Amino acid sequence: MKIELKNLHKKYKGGKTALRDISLTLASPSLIGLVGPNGAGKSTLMKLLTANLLPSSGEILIDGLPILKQEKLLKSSLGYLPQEFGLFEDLTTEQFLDYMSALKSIERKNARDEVDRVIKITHLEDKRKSKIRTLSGGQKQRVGIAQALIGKPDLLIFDEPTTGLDPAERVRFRNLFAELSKSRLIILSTHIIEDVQSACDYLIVLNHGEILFAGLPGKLMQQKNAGSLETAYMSLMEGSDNV
Amino acid sequence: MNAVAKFLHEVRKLLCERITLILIAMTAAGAVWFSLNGTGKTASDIFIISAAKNSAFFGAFLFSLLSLLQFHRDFRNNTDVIIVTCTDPLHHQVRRTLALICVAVATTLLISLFALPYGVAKTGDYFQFETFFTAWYLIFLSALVFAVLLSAGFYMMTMRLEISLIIMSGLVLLSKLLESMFSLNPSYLFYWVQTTANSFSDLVTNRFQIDMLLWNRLFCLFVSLSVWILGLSSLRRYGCGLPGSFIANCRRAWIPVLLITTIPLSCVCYAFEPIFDDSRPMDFSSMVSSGTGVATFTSIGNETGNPNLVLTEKVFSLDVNAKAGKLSGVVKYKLSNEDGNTQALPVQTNTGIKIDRVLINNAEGKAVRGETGESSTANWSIELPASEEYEIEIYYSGRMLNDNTIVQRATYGIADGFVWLPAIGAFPNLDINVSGDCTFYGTLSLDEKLEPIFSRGTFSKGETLNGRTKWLYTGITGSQSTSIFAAEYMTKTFEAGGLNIELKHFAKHGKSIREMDAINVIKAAIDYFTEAFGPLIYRNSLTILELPAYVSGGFAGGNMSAMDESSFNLKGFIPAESFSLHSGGGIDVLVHEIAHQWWGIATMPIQDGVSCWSAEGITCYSTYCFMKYYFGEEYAQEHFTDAWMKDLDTYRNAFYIQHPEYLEKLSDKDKSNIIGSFRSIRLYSIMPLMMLNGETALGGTENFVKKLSELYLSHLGQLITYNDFLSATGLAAEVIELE
Repeated sequence: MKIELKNLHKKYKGGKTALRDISLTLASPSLIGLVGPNGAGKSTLMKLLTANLLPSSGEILIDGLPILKQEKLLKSSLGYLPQEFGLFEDLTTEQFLDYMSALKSIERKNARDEVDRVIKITHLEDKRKSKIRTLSGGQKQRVGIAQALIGKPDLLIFDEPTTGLDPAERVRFRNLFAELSKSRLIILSTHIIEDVQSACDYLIVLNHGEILFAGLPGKLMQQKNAGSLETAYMSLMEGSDNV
Repeated sequence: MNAVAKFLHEVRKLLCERITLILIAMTAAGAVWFSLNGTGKTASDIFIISAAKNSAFFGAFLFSLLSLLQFHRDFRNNTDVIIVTCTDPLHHQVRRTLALICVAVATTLLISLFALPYGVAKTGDYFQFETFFTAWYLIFLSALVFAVLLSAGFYMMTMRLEISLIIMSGLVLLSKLLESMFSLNPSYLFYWVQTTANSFSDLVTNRFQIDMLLWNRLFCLFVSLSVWILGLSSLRRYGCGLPGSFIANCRRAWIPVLLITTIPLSCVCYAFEPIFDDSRPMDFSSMVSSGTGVATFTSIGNETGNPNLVLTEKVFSLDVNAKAGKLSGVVKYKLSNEDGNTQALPVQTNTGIKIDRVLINNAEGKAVRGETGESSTANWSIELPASEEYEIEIYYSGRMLNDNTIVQRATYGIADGFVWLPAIGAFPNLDINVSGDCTFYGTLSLDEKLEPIFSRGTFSKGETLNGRTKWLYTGITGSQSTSIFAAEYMTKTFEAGGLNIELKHFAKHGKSIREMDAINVIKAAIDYFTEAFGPLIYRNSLTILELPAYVSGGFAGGNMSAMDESSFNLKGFIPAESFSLHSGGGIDVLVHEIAHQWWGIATMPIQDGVSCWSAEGITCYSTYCFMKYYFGEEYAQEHFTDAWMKDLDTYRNAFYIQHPEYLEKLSDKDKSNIIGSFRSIRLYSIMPLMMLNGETALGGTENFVKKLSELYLSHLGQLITYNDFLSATGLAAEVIELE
């Protein structure tokens, strides 16, 4: 899958400009880290990529065609975890994932295996029969990740996926994303540089709606002559804020 | 995975949710409670219809809440964000709405597990599956479905829980409120929750009621679908506002197609409503009739449409197709023309009847439809060439329409199992003078299981062929009309007051008639009135005719007194919400309609439009006297005096009585309806109270009744004015009138 963003501009009704002149090309296989401070425009960009928002100007092309024309393709090949989301609290983990399998048009005969697979990947075996309302915040986050993984989508978009996870789980999921990115496009929005440093092969830094950097993480470290990505990122941000 | 599988998952998900189960349980518990605490006039009403109507009110509110919570929770919790990134958001809303409807169906089926055996056990021999299905599926389930569609529609339009909840609560309450606004006669189509269906018959078909309900449900379905589709087209997409989302959604061709289908269909459904007509509101100011419910009336001030023409013979051949609900026929008239010039022949039919063909002296003629008059009268005009004699044939056909004014209630027409053709519905009547020796006869063709009863004249059974029987009718010389009733009747004959009495009751009601000892009650009433006022010397026979409950009340006319089936119930009662005795049920109505033979038929107490005097007041008083004699003082006090006093309070406290200046600001139709309801109280409740004052003034019931007897005997076959009454009793108006 190939996503092209051309001169993307998003201004909200209240007058706030969330994104300015964003042009990018994202292609699979890749694990792309999208970082930036709060209010940088990350979530807006996610919403644009998932067709939950339309740009004020510019265009998004998926495999060469405008996103609205490719909406059906996008929905069939997208796994999405928003930053804030709700689940059906009265369903069990298994029932919820089964429901999501149905929405993702997975054949009934394959659905059970697919649910078993994502439950296993997200280590929710012991919570399979638990009502979602009884799960902890971290467990709900894992259910959120599990639903995104159903159907092995070609495009995975995660908005702050490791929020609420304990350190061991974060590491496990980082590794999982790295593994999954070998055959698909994953966009990982986060403000935790550590997540990006260890897993992403491409980095996009956003601030005030503009791209400050887009390239390999090592390149940013080299540019900023920093020993770690976090130092390089901080240096980039300071430069940006000083401007 | 196909759409059906996705839909089934949606239903399963909904049924797993706690809130859904709680609201299903509450709705079902409500249905059980309402079943156990039903009210009404018939067994079907009490144990089936009333329960379904009240449950519909409760259920509509709960299902509105359920729908709004479902839509709002997923939106508020951002669950929708996950859903719509993997499925089409419009399709998802369709599935969600259908799933809610499916829950409504499941709830109804669950309730049926209790309501069906309960209804069967309680109504016994009177159980009609059609009534059960109408109650729980046409009234209750439809109300839940409309609640789901409207709630979903308003939520998707506003995306605000509180606003949608206020709108839905308002709509549910409005439907309920309309019932108390019956004096304004709102269209029955607007009662989207409970509907106006009441007084279901235990004994014959409820086709008229069910037809009304079907049309009401069709209209409400189109309206709620329109609101829902408008909501769907307003579903917020791509972060856009309402206009942007509307444009984006309407790119799907099926949305604008549905919109431009359902909205006009709602309008068409309203405009072409097939049960009621466009009758002109009654002009009570010029009314000088003998009172509501009495078929005979004076011709004072009523000039015929063309005084130059005289009817000398009328012969009809009428074919009633009960299964199709239609009639067709031909009438041959002989007329004389006093001046021999060209004439316009005024013809009156029921508004649902069409004149198909006219032959004038064997030449083709033409009938032109004019304005609709009062009481479902369609006025036609036929141009006649210059001639001194005419032989005219009128071919006609159609389906009866009911009067839309006063109260929208379908009471007459043709159904499979019951037929009521009012005088102007059976055949076209000519609005001209009728010669004293005019002969009137003809044949009526009916399903063989139905037995006809004519309100006046004699009839006999002819041949039966292919399941249809011909009945030969001879009318009263000098008349040109009769009402026709037909059903599966059973007949009991006996003598009372020197008359041969025929009690015609529905076949299914035999047991109840025996249990209430109806024959002895009727005998006692006729003997009492004969003793108190004098004999009914104008005829030697009288028919007491049972009518379905939905006729609600009764009437007297020709050689019959007719009353609805709830009159054959020993424990007579008057519903608390009843505005007047006449709309009540029980044995009171049976006696009331018998009393009308003395006051209204044998004599004609005439309403003058100023005083409360009419046949109704004196009939109510006479009924009260008999009840006091037959059931005792306590019964009469509770069922009559107290009820009249309550009506008097209602009348005195009525807004438009206290502020009559506002009455003038209303439309003619609304004004007519309100005056009609006040008039009803004046005739049925205030006048009897005035007569109780008369009793006191004359020293007791016996003295007062004696004066009434003198009044009756001196005015046989004549009009009785208020002044005649005052003169005969020697009372002054100021003495009896209420302060």
